[in-house]
Formats: sequence, C-alpha cells, structure tokens
Amino acid sequence: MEYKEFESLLIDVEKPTRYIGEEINMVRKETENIELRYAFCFPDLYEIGMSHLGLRIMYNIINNLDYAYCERAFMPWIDFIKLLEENNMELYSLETKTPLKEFDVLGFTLQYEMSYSNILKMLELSDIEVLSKKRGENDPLICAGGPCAYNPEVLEPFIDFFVIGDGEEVIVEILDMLRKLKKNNLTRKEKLNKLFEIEGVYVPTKVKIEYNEDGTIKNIIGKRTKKRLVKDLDQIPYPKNPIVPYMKIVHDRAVLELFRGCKRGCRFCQAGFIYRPVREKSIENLTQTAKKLIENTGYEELSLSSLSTSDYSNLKELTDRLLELSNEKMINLALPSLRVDAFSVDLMNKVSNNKKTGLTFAPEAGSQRLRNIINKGIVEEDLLKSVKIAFEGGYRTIKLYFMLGLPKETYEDIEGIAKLADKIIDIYIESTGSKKAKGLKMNISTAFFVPKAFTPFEWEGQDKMDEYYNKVKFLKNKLTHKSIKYNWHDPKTSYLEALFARGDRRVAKVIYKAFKKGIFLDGWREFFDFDKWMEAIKETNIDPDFYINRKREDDEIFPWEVIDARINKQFLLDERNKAYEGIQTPDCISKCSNCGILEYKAGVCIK
Amino acid sequence: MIIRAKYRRGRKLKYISHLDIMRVFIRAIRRSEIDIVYSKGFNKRIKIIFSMALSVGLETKGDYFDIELKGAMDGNEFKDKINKYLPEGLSIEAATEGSFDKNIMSLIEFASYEIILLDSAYGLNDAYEKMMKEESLIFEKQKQGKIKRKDIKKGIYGVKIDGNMIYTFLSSGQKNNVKPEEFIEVLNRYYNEELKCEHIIRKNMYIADEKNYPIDPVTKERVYEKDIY
Repeated sequence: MEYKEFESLLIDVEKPTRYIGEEINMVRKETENIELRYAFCFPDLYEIGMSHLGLRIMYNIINNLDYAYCERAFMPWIDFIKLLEENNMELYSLETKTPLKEFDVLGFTLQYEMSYSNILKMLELSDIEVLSKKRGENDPLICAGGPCAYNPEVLEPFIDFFVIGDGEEVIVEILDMLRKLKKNNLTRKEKLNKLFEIEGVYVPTKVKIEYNEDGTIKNIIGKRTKKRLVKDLDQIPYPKNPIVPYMKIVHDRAVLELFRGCKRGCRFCQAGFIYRPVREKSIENLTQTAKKLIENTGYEELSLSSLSTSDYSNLKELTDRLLELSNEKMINLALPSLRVDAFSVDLMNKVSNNKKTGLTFAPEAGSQRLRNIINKGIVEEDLLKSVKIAFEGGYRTIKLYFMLGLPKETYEDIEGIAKLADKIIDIYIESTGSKKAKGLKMNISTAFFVPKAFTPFEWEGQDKMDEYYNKVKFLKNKLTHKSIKYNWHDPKTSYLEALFARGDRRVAKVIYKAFKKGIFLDGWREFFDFDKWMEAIKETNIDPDFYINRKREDDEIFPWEVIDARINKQFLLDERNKAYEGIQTPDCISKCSNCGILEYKAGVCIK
Repeated sequence: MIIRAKYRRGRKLKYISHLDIMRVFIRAIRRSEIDIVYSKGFNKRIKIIFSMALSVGLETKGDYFDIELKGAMDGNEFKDKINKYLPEGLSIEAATEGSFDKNIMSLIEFASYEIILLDSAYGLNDAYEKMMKEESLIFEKQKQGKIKRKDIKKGIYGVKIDGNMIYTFLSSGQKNNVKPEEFIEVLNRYYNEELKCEHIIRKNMYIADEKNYPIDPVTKERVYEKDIY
C-alpha cells in the first residue's frame, strides 16, 4: 500500500500525530542526492523518543553532512501496529515516509532494558530479519548506542555493530567510512570488519566468548572496544534548531545540556562511571545556545540538563545570565534536580511561583551508615537544614527517593527512612506551627536496586523478590503519618532489568523467545506480562538466579568486559571493598581517586 | 489593537489536533517577537482567541483567530511576519487590524464546506430533498455516558450535490454548530448505501453583518452562492 492511501486510515488511531512528521525544523533533503540514508530509531513511542536529547544531537550532526540524511522512526502503539499488519504496510520514517527496510543504517538507542523487546518488534514491523546472521546484502546495517550499550552482549544476535560512548565524533567517522565502502561495493561482512577498526565500534561477531563449566566466562577472545569520549564539549555542534513536535511530549521544552559526567562517584550509579570525566560547557557557549534555542523554537520553557546540575562550577553566574534571558524573552526556566540549599530555594522562587510540584531529595538510603556504603554523600544534618529552608520558603510538598536491596542493607537502615520522615514532619510542625502537620505532603518512593555493569557493585547479587516485598511491608508499617504517601516500585520489572543489565550472550535467547511469544511495549503497564517472560526464561534453560541474585567472585570475567570503559577494574573492586567498610570516597574535584579515566586527559581530570 | 487573521491548514496537517495547532501559532508569534499583550499574573499567556475547532481529519482554507497586540500593526505586516515561522501546510491567508469589541469565537455564525465522497452517489439529491421535508433532524451523540441530542435542520442553510462533491453552507459557532460529519450521518439515513467521505474541507467561516447576512470576517465582503458552490 502507498503511504497516501495508508494516511487516510490514521483517522482510526490514537494520536495520529505520532506517525506524521511535518514538524517545525524537520529536516528536508532531496533523496536523489543522498548517498547514505540513516534512520534514528527510538524503541518507544514518539512522545517519549522526541524528548530524548541524544536524538536531537545525532539528528543535527548527521544532517549537517551533505551526503547523508538522518530521518526518524519510533515504536508505534498497538492500534497502529494492527493497521500496519492488516494493510500489509511496513514501518516507515517520518521525514519521507520511506520504509525502514530501504535505509543504509538503522541506529537504535539503548536507554533502558525494558525497551529491548521493542527493538525486535520494530525490525519485524519493518520486514527486516531480527537475527543479524540472517540479514542479506541489501538489508540495512543495524547499530545501537546509548548507556545500555556498555553491556551489549544481551543484544549480540540482533545488532550488527554497537557504538560505545559519546556519539558525535564517531558517527561521522562511521558514516564517512560507510560512504567509501558503499562506493567500493564491499560485502556486509567486509563492511563490519572495517567498522570494527574504528575506535568505539563494537562488532560482536569479531569477539568470541569461552565459558567455564560453571557457566562463568573463561575467556574473551578479541579486541576490547574502547569507549569514545568527546573531550571539549564547546567544540562540538549542539542542536540549536531542534524539531518542535506538535503533540505534547514528555519534555516539551528547549533543553540545554550543561555538562557530561558526574564527579560524585555514587557506587550504585552506572551513569556516574560511564560518562566520566566531568566536562563542562562554558557559560558563553551556554548562554548563546540558550538564546538560539528560544529564537528557533518559540518554546515557553527552557530546561537545564545534566546528571547533577548543582555541581556546575559557576552555577550562580550561569543562572543569573539565564534568568536575564528568560525575563527578556518571557520564558520559564526549569531547574530539575538541584541540591536544596538557600541559594537554590531563592533561585527557584525567582523562576516560578509554583510551589505545588514541591522539592525532591534523593537520599537513596535511610541511614548514614548505608549512605556511606553507597557513597551518596548526603549528611542528615544538611538534609534537614535544607528541608527547613524549603518549608520556611513556602514549600509544602517534599518528594524523597530511596532504594531497597542495597548491598549490606539491614532492617535498621530501612527503619532509618521512617525515622527521617518523622524528623521531617517535626521540622514542618516547627516551621509552620501546625501541630498536626496540616498541609504537608510527603511522597516517599522506593525503587528496587539493580546492580549495574562498570560500577563498584557489579559483583553484587540483587535481593530476592520475596525479600523486597518483606522490606516494603516492613517500611509501610512504619510510615503511618497521614501526610506520607508511600509508593514502591514493582520488583518484577527490576528483576528483568537485572537479568539484562548484567546478562551475557546466552541471555539473548530469552529476549528472542519473548519476542517470539509476542512481547513488546512492555515498558507500558498494560502490556507488561511477567509470566510470559518467566516462560521464556524457563523454555530457554537460562538460570535467572545465576545472573540476577548470584554474588560474583572477585576475579570473575564479566560479559561487559568486551567493552573498555577506561575505568580500572581494580579501582571498582577497591571501591566495593571500601563500601563494605563504610568508607567514603571523595568527589573527583576534591581528590582524584585514580579510577583510570585520567588516561584520556580531559575535563575535570586536568583542571 | 486586535489583529483578526484568516489561516489555512492543509491536508498534510489534517491530523494535528486543534489544541496543537493553536500552540504552533503561539510559538510562531513568540519567535516573531511582535509586541503582544500578555495576561497578568505569574503564568503569562498570550491573549489569542480561535474560532470553533475543526474536527481532526479536516482541512481548512478559512479558520480564524484574534490576537491582541501592544502597538499598532497593519494586518498584512502581521501576516508576513508570522508566516515565516509556520510549518509547511499552515499559513495566514489574510489579516485585518481593528479594535473589535466582540471576539471572533463569539461572532462566527456560518461555515461553508466541501465534502468529497469516495464515489459519486447516484440519487443523493432525492435523498437530500426527502431529508429536508422533515420537521426536524435529530443528531444523537454519546458524550461522557450521556446522550446529547440536537436538531440540525435549522442549521442547514444550503446544499448542492454534484457528482461526488457535496457543497454545504451550515450554521457554525457557539450558538448552533452543525458539523459536516453530522450532516453526512443524518443524510445517510435517507440514502440506502453507506456514504464514505474521502476528504472534507472547510472553505471559509462567516460572521453576520447588520442585516444578518453572512460576510467574510476579514474582508467584510458578502458571500454569494457562487463562492460556496
């Protein structure tokens, strides 16, 4: 069926805008002059994917090349999928409505493990072979990047090549090479061989894994892929002309990336380790970019994005400049995840009068002992001081984020959450004079800890699900005050995340089986079917306990070591041991702990 | 000062919701940096009022909005400035300036539509004549569990059927809004085959002059049969 005919059927789907394109700042190119056609594929709905900064960055970089054209594709919703299947139609790109099958490269982004099933579904809907080994010479090359690519092994059978680390420079090298190789008529295999020579590109077929009898890895045979790092963020292009979607998307605002990396080194946080070192953008660059973004989009809100905005070295000057700009252009400044202190509360008051959304804190653990173990440096005294400032400043809603199942966690630590909540209530009563804490809204949320690759906790086992339920029950009984609303994450998704986060190539069988069983869109509650996943696990003879709950030996070789994140394994092990002793590690700027990233000589390491 | 603008929204954008289209204009106006009046209070809003929403799936060659500017500006100047920031498929066709005491939403009373059927409907004229002999034409719709009924007969001012084209002149606006899809559904009761629409275009919307005659909101010209059919 032709797209024109198909378009008339869109009247029957929810939010047809997801499938149309035609947005402001969408790039249009004459396809006859294009040598390389690239489709950025976000494995979730349009409204989720269009909020992704990585898409905007790559779209801009690739479209700046005159020989290449980057278009977009997203995971459709169930009603559109039915429409495709009923009408023998294939998944198409938004810009030119070209079937994805006709592209040279499909680039998926791996943002979270529960989106993996969508990757396979999107390939199926595009009539492209899900298994790499079955793809033909005319099929597009399938690549994947993003944070989860640091453990690429669970997607090994489906992805032709992975891109590790910052994408801006390596994608140009990849496309330049593919352009040459296309002219020289190389085979698919030859192309992949050549791509593997580029630093940051991982071709799984070029690396072999040998296993021990006990199931652990005996040997990784092949070159380790070093992550790519952009050293100076001021020197690379940033999208100043992003596409402005018609429909309301999750983050419907202009986004300004302040810096990459985080200096804190919280031991559970993968992002803190894989995005090292901290590299900041200059105030000049940021102010200029902010101005251009507003001029080119007409957005009413500008948001600052980074792993830890409060740690930007010259935050006061930056926010002064941005406030000036936002007053001039009549826009709101959104300041997510700021550390709560007098400065930020004052700033937040200047920015918006809306105190309804409240303030967020993420202590992650309820006791100082456990916070020291995970290296989350929040001291209770400071937290309570901040809360006091917030209440005195008129805030009435406080959100607190914690994790359950952290290493060496005891019930006493969990009780610490309740004790902290009580102290906060006391401060509220003191600050407002309301004896029964009237007006206070405290939202406490607990997530289920998932041990991640390339962190000091990569040796840990995840708590058993039963244990998690016990801990939730225990905590629930302690959070009795009427101002508290307690929300706990469903451990079933965390369980599966844990399987994929540290899975090896054999776990890919589970993903394939699940796909064959018809699983997709399972990041969405209405589609998540845990029983089906468990069936898939059972039928592939994968022992989930081996991957999820088992505590690893110190000298075990990990599947993700096909990647070299330039963090010394010994450093991570030392961190793990320090954690067990409750010893903290200072942040990168206070004292360098020689994690290994210094080798790159970039960012905060050389400051 | 108020600018009254007429805009068209092409076929490419027919699935974009009315609310989303409104936001496109608001963003374009912000980018143009034209001095506009903002509402008071912390959440400053642009003072813009649109004419009655078009159903999703329809194209329009004549929808309207009023916007309050701080300074004075010629309608054409406004049109040229904003068109620069609109996407393909959306554009301002004409604009006039003034100090209108009533907003466009409250003033609109009529609209003309072109309904393109997939196939010519043989004998549809007879069905129409039969329909118009009725005393009332009730259209029912389920809304939030309740059934809403309205009589659309009074809102059908003129119809011409030519092959697979149906040209209609219907009542529109806050008092009595008759949608072309509603007209088709009621007409279909008097026709023995299912009427399938390929496309519907709103050609223009009209306000009433002192003599209650329909006129173009921007040019103030009276509309004649030849304009509609």
